[in-house]
Amino acid sequence: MNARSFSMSRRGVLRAAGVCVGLPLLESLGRWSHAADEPTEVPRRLAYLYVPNGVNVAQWQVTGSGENYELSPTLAPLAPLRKEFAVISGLNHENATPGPDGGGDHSRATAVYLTGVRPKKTGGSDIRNGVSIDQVIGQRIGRLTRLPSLELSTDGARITGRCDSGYSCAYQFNLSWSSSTSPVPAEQNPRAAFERLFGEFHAGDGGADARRELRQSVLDFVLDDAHTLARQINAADRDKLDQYLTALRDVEERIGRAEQAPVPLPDFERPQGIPDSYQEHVRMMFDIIALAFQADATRMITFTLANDGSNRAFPEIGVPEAHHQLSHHRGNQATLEKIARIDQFYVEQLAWFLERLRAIPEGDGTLLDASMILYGGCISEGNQHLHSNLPLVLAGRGGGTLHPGKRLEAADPTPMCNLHVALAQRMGLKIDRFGDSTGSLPGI
Amino acid sequence: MRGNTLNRSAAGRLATAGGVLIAIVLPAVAAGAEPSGQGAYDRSVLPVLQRYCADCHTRDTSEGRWAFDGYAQYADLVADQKTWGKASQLVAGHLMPPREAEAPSAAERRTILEWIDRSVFAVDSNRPDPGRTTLRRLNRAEYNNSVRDILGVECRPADQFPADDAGYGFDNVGDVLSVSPLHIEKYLAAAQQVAEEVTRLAPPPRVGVELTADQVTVFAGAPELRDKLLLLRSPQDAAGTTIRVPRTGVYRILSRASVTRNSDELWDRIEVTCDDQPIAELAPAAEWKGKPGAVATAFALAELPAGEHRIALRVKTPAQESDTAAPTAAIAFLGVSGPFTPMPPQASDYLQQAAKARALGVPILRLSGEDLDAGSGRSSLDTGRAWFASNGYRRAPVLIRTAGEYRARFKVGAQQAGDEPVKFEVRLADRKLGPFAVTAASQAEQWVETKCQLPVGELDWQVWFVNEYKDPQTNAERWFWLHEFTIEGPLAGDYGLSREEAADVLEQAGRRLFRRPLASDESQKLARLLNSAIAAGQSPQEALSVGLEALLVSPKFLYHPLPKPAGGSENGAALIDELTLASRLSYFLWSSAPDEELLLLAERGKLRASLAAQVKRMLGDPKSAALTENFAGQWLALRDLDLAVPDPVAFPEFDTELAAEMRRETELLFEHILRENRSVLDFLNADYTYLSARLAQHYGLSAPAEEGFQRVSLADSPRRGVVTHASVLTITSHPTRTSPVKRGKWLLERMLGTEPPPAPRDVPPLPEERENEVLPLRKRLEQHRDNAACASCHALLDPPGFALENYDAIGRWRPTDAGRPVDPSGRLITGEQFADWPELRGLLVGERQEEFVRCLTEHILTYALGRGVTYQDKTAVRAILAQAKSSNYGFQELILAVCQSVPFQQMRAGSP
Repeated sequence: MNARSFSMSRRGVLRAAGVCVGLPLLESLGRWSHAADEPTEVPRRLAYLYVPNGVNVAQWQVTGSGENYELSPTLAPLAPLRKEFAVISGLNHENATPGPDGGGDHSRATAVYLTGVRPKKTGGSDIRNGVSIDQVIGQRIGRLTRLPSLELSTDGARITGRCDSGYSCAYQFNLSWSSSTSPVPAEQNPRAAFERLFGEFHAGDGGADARRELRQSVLDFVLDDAHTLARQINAADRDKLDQYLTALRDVEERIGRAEQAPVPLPDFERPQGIPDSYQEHVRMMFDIIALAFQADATRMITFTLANDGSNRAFPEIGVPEAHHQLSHHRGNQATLEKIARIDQFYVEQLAWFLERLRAIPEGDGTLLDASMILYGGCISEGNQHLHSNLPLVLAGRGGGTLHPGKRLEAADPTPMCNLHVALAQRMGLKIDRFGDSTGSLPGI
Repeated sequence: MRGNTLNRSAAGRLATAGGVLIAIVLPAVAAGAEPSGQGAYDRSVLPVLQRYCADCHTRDTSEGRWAFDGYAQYADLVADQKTWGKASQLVAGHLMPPREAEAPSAAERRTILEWIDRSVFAVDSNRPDPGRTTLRRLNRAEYNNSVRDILGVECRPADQFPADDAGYGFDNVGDVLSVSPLHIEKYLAAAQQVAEEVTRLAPPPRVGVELTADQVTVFAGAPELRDKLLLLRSPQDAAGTTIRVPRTGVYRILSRASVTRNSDELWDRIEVTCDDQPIAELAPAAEWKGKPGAVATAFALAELPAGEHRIALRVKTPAQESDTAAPTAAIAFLGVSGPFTPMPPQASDYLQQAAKARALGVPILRLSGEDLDAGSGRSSLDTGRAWFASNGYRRAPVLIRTAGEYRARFKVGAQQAGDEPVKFEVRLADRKLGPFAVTAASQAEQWVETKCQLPVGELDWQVWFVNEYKDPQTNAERWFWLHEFTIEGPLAGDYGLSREEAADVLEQAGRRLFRRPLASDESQKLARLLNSAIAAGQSPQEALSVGLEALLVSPKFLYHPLPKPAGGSENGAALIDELTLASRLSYFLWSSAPDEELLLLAERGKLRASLAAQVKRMLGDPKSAALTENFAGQWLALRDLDLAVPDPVAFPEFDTELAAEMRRETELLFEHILRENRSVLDFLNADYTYLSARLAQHYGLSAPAEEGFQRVSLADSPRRGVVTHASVLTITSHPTRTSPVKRGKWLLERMLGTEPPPAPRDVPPLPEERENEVLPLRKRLEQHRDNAACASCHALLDPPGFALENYDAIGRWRPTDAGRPVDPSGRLITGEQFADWPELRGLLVGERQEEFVRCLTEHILTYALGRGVTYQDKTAVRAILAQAKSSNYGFQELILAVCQSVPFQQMRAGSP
């Protein structure tokens, strides 16, 4: 019995048990039709790289327009890659603003960035957010690759107690949401991320069949237990159990896919655990993204370099103060200077990553040519928590569908979700609305 | 209001925690008429609102804001919990009416607050609602502790799981604990790891101690150390070593020594004792001639029981009539090693316990080349291996206790030369194994295996190299390398678990992991899984591993048990079943699964009846350290110390070690208050603490007399309680300076249960800071508060933080800040003035002590239930407070009261 028919029968069993495990409710999604399943010749890849706390806007903002714009001081490290990226201005996330909800801009920034939906302000009893665009994409095209999507983070910091102004911590620490109530946690350990991509399920050795059968017995056992439980619980608890069942089915399918189309182990030293140096940690994750894209093990990756509200200090670049504390700079020049230094540190990491992608040949071009790398965050001006004119860099050529090397000024205000729509379309989704979008962002 | 030093109504406080409102009024306020219902609203509340709030909050004046006359009918008005909750918070916190408007009297404030409490957040104390906790999965700590306590696995597999999200201040809240595919992947991997660890068999552990004369410990008498010899000269002299024997078995005690020779036949001997009991005698064949000379090797095999033992040598002189020379044993070397007999492989404690005394695998003796003593010929040792350059042998004693067929395996190597391969053989007293050819190329390793019958007894196991060779032209030599060898057997025997035993072990594990006896269909299902694994070619032990994996990924393990009503329901509530109660208790107090005692009591229906005794027992168990780690770590935010990064330039003294000691201080105080059942007011008030030498220096106090953390009196220090611990002062600071705002917020949220209201919607940007501004922090914050929009929160937040300004950003005492004297005085928004922290503290533990205890209670209740505490719990909170107060707020009594409370003991059931 192959993996496909197994997962189908699994679904049948679930349906028979009266457990709702259909695709998670796509609340943020507008009307859409089925995606084209056929892979394009060179597959396109998409990565969202998230940086927190806003930027020193004056140092970030580029001047001029079109192809002849002038790079800003903060973006200077990207100069050698000038033809490979576009600087985008004028995009907003209205649902990240206080609106009727008051404080909590950092939680909201993370929760809204990829969903475009205003998260329900709650400390826990009834969390509700939209499905994030990366998960929508992963759920549509994910079955073509080993992992439908990969979520990474270099920020394992968890402050205790209540998070941001009455928001459950689930909002502040998760960019990706697979359903309105299911945040998708990110992997922080480079080694574990590597092993998810390349480590286990290698076909070929002798006992593989026996092990597969035993594993299937274990999964069958567990599924039956879940059904027994499902019969005993009420509606509120069923949501929780559905998360479990959905995730279990998902993993089962992943295992099946991995067995059918094993990904060759890349010629790369298996990373160890989490390194002490932050920069090294970030670059290790970039390495893993590059490897994953190169091996076509997944085409959809989100990477949180730090959680919004992060209080990371940067003594290694002469900024001993905490990032979030600094971001409330009150116009103080010395403080703004330090923010710019942190901004530039992050941009340097981006430049390193883009160079890495550019150095990997694929088809007639490079891996960067096939990719779309959106770098940015959901706060522009940290002092006031502005969610307008977000700082964004879009790199790569998306397999010829992007036209970098310019400044793109969107008519202000344009919803950020218009860019999400534009990128999702390039990933093969037939989608014309997402979150609070008003269309697809043209001209990218 | 100004003359009022303590505004009682402020205690009628209300916290919003993400939409859930908690409104609890102190019982002390209850005096006077009960203002509830529409009559009370029209008669008492409306006039107050009209007088103080009408300027901004009527339909005519509100300009889109809230209007108290904007409801169609009273029923709508009283149903708007969200708005009234916020109103209550603002009125109680003196944030409304705004400062510039006319302020209501304390009594008027109280009227509003009591009406909100009794009417908007009405509960029927005769029909208490136990609330409900959403199906919640184990968090990382609970997973780790459960597999540790049930299966004895210490590897903390859950450390690899994604971090747990928190809600209501804790990471064990069911509503926010989600499961993603990543979780399932990690659960599968962890289950495999745990199951393997439980069922894996390891070679029996070996012991090896080698001591020269100067390293031997003198236990008694006065042996003399002379020229690398330890001279035992009287029966009183005893010297040896203390060793830890991992498993009962036969070990070798070996010494190189010389002894006095009394006459031709009568030599002194060396007596070996184990914990003062004679176990062997050694007779080295070298004579002590009054000065250092030759020594000889002598050894004995002896059975040593598992555990720590003192192995001692004494000189023993044979009984003799006349002119005995002075007794002497000159010890050059002592070695204890072993075992030297095949022993069953090492199983996990869990598996071994399940198998009782049965051997779970074929007994095996594994010796490395290094364990072999020289016999004859040219041979030596090299990093664990023995090499042989000429014909000859090396030997080891092997004790066989059961005759039968054995398997011997040799890991060997060669340096090949000449035209035939290296050959070796094993010689025993009456027979020979081999010769065996080592055909591997030089430097490569090769396994050679043979079977043989071995008799009972101590065998002199000799490994011989038998075909030495030296090439006459090249001088190339043929060498034999022995890396290690094993002797396994007797091969015929009943080893490992039978199918029935494996099924039994699995069933028992299922009961503990699911935290209740398995239903018969569950047992059958487990048995089917086991049988199918056996049918697929697994041994019962391997099949057990598969079964454990399944149990560990089952939602019945990964989620806390669902309560079932025990007995009938009344007023919409019923007692929860005792098995669920056992889990609630153990995950509350231990962050772990119930132990056998709890489970048995619950199975027999006797847990509820012995609740107080069980809570006491559980708090006395070391596992209750989980309360410190997980409850205190989050309530007091101690976990944030891992994230604290004081500026290394400004605070070079700070490092991770200091941070760990800071955390330990607070943990020790918490544990002390818990174990000694001290009043919880000690958290604010303790005039003692626990300090290491380094922390004492940090505090400017003299170091404690003894090593490590010691209890220290704070009589000569202004510090009192956790608030003045360096831990708390550091986590509430910025990297470069203190933060009165963060400290104030910490105090209000974690000690007083006052949540600052959300920032107003239209906060203007902070004014631009002037370059080179040198205003003191306090002045800058005051400027900030001059702005009405900022004032609302900061008048609440900042003052309590100012009281702690005498402590710098890593918690050191400082009389001045940047050259100016520190001003730690302030005025709470409720009007009370204080000169410094001791005065503010006096207020908190005095008139406002109930606020603190209630705050702690609500935190504990949240943690104990795994859900947010709502206004519906206020009757329960009140009852817990009353019970705790009657026992002088003893911490254990408070915890017991939580365990006895309605929400902990009951569930919603039947018609409400």
